[in-house]
Amino acid sequence: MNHNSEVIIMLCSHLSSDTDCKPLTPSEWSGLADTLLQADLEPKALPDLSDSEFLDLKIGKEETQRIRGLLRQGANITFELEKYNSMGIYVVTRADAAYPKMLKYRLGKSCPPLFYYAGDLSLAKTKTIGFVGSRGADENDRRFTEKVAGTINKLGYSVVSGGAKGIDTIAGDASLKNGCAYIAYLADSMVKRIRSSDTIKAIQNGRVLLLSAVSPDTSFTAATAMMRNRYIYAQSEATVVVHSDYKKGGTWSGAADCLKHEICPELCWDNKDYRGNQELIKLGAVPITEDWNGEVPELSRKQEEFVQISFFD
Amino acid sequence: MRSDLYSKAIEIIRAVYGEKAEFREGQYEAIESTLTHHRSLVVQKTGWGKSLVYFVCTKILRDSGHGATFVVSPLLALMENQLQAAAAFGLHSVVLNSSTKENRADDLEKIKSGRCDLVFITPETLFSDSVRSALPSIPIGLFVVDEAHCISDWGHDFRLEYTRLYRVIRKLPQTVSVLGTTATANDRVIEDLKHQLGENVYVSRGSLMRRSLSIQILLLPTPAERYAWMLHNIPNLPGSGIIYCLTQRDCDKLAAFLQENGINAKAYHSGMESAETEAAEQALRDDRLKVLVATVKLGMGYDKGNIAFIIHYQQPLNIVAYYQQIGRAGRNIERAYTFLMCGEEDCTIQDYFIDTAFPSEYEARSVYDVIRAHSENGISASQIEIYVNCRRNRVEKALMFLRNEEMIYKEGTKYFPTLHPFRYNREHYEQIKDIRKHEQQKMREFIHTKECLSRFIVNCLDDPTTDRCGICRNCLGYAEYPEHPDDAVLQLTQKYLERLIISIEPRKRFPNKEFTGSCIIDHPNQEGLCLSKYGDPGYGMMVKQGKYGTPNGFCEELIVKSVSILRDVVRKNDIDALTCVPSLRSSIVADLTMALADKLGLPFVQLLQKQGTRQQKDMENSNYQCRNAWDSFSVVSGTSDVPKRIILVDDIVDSGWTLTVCGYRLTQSGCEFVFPFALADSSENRSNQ
Repeated sequence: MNHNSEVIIMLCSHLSSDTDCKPLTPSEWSGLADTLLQADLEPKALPDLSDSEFLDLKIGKEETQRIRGLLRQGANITFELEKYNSMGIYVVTRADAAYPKMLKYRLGKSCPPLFYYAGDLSLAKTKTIGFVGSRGADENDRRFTEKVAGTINKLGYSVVSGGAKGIDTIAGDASLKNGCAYIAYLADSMVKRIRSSDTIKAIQNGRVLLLSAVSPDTSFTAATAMMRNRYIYAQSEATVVVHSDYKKGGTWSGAADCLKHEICPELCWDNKDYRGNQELIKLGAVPITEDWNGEVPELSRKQEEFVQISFFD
Repeated sequence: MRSDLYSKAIEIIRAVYGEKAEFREGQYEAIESTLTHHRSLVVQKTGWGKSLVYFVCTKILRDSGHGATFVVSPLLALMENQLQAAAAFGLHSVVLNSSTKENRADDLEKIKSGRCDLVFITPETLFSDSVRSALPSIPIGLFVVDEAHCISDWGHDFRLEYTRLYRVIRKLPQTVSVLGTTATANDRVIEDLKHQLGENVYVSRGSLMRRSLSIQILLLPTPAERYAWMLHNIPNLPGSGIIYCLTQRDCDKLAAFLQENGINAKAYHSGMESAETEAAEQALRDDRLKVLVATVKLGMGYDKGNIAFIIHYQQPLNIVAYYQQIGRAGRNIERAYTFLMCGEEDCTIQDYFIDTAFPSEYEARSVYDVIRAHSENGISASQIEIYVNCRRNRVEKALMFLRNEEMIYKEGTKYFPTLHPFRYNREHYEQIKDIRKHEQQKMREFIHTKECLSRFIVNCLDDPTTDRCGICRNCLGYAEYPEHPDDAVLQLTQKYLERLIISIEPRKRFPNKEFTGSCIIDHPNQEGLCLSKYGDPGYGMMVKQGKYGTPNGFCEELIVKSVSILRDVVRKNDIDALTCVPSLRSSIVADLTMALADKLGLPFVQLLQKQGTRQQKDMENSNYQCRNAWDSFSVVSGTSDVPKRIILVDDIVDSGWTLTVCGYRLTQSGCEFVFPFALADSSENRSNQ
């Protein structure tokens, strides 16, 4: 592991339970990274900075203490990491070349400083189409999802979803069945996930990649699930909304958020019975049917200028 | 900066040892490299002052607000002297190992709150659940790996627990200092350790020759000769000492022998209750004991300054282990005597250790497959035994192996598969085996060398010295203590050994509920008797010859001896009759039982019959053994009038399941008292540590 990554993990992971030192949030880390970049320093220089050098960087006394406190957690964090590593769960940080590029590109400073992952990380480099929708999918939802997954798999795309029950899993399983890969950005409980016999097999065969911005033992919260939606949109060439409620639920808020920030092109099943879907189409989602040919529309506006947020861009 | 660090360090040792104290050669350099974020490795002989290095480092780190120092050491003994030495430096320390379990919660609280400077911990405890869950809230400033050679599987004493340790160490960020210490590493192990500790490892290495140890080699093939030598010579040895045995059974047997013959001796091994071992160790520490009879587990981390002699009852696996073990003697005294005994059984025991160090591919694969099939909810070790026909200790070995190779992990009592695929690097394990065999060969050369024995040892550790110790058997040109036992003592000893009888502990529980609906055995057998250890000199050898060597069955001498033992049993217990465990292949057990019944004047009744099943000796663990015996033995149909009090005879007892099931069948059909008797016990020494 490179020494910059070591420092990012010490500063940003939630692996230490020492409550005196709160880990840095993604934007706090981005701020610090900016400061370091401007001073032509790398994160690995942090442990050796003196008080006056911190002051030169305009980092205040309290902030300096917090950073030093976090850096002292090195050993105990390593034990936690080793525990996960031995299970087959690893960490990739923004200072690693293998960090999912699309996320840096599309989310800029708000992309997480690190991800826990299981499986072949290079799958994140493949072109993917996202799938979102409710957990309680019915037969129609299933048919539509499998049909569309088949279309995009034929064109060489893999599936990215949130790894939850319902649409997420239907799309992922379809992709695996079609001989393609499946990337899941999990909102919680990665440790539980890797106990499934099918998941173990698919990961050992190099076909599944699980990623999570929260520690592998974290249980579900609505907030992390919302954050996770953004990663799906950011990772994909385009995301297909299969079934959304209107103005409630994670699918709706994620899809609306994507349209508002134009994270990626958003496609939506033109199903007249689904009010949420119809409203998303009114807001700008591109309507598709199950006969969609897989052509991805372009975003109406140009992407922002790409900001350098780490050291390998 | 440098001189600042030096003045701090020298000030610390002068506060402890007085104004004139200076560092020994290399000590300050090791301190400096440790504190400037280097990975450091100190390879120095026992007594050089390795702990001083980390005491001073800890003191400096703590003064500048860093976390505690963790010293990982495979110690079994409480390190009283270490703790006292640490206290002299004003360091608060705590020991975490299996014997300090009761205080675990308090100790961890103390460490968390920053009131502890030094934590001595065994690798097993470091990875235990309670410590693991506390670690995330414990800042660590310095990580010391004592006996660091255990990390290297090229090393003489590679330990599977240490594999996980080195994985952690390798991932430790540069902000945490790491210091490895050992007295026993050759060039190859040092290279390996440098690689495993990380980048830019500083190595401190000095002369390994110990001038206070005299070595004498004793070629005494039989146990009786060695027992007799000790009985005769230990009273003439100065002070107190340690006898090392390779197995726990040898420790128990030898300690009992010495004790019964007037030498104050106690056994010490990990198969004993911790209260017993602590008492034994305390007695040695207080000089109340002449000799402690221990397995090699005592060797490491044991720290008593005036151990005056060390006797090896068998040869250790290799010279480095030997050097490590004799290194315990003569630390604060001018002269200590060490004796290396070489017995006829040494090679067999050594081969066993070498051949079973890794699980076979079959064992590893079978255990892995069971765990893989239970990925969702995990599976416990005892459940695994139901699916795999392997001995318990083999299953345990396989579990340890799979864990270290990261193919499985443990949560609570359950094992789960990891995402890493199964792999078995046979070539690597074979290579290691070859190295062990080569080391064994080197040990044989050592025994017969005419060179200075100390020099031979340190040369093996790549210390190129050409000096002679001047005090070993070869340097002196004569033996300071007799090379053979006294004849009269030898005769007494032989008599003693022949008298030894082994008890057969009755099993009180079935391995699971599938047999009777309950695990409890309602009327277990009595505690029975067994004449010998299968294959041991004397009766044990006669049994082996009787079973496989001669067509006439067991010899008269065995029958006479058995009758002399059983006569007492019959009288004390009102025995009505004798019966035997039936066999489909030969009648030697029935013939034996009939002969015994005849001489004891009791009837022989054949109450049990056997159905053709698999051979009991092919069953490897309790589940399979009990199941096979259960399917094999039943009471002869139509039997009525079963004798109430009976002796149940078999030739060889191993797991005890045959006797247990046969006894159970007998009590179910009306027997009230079943007393098992066997000629020999062939159970694998439960202790091979």
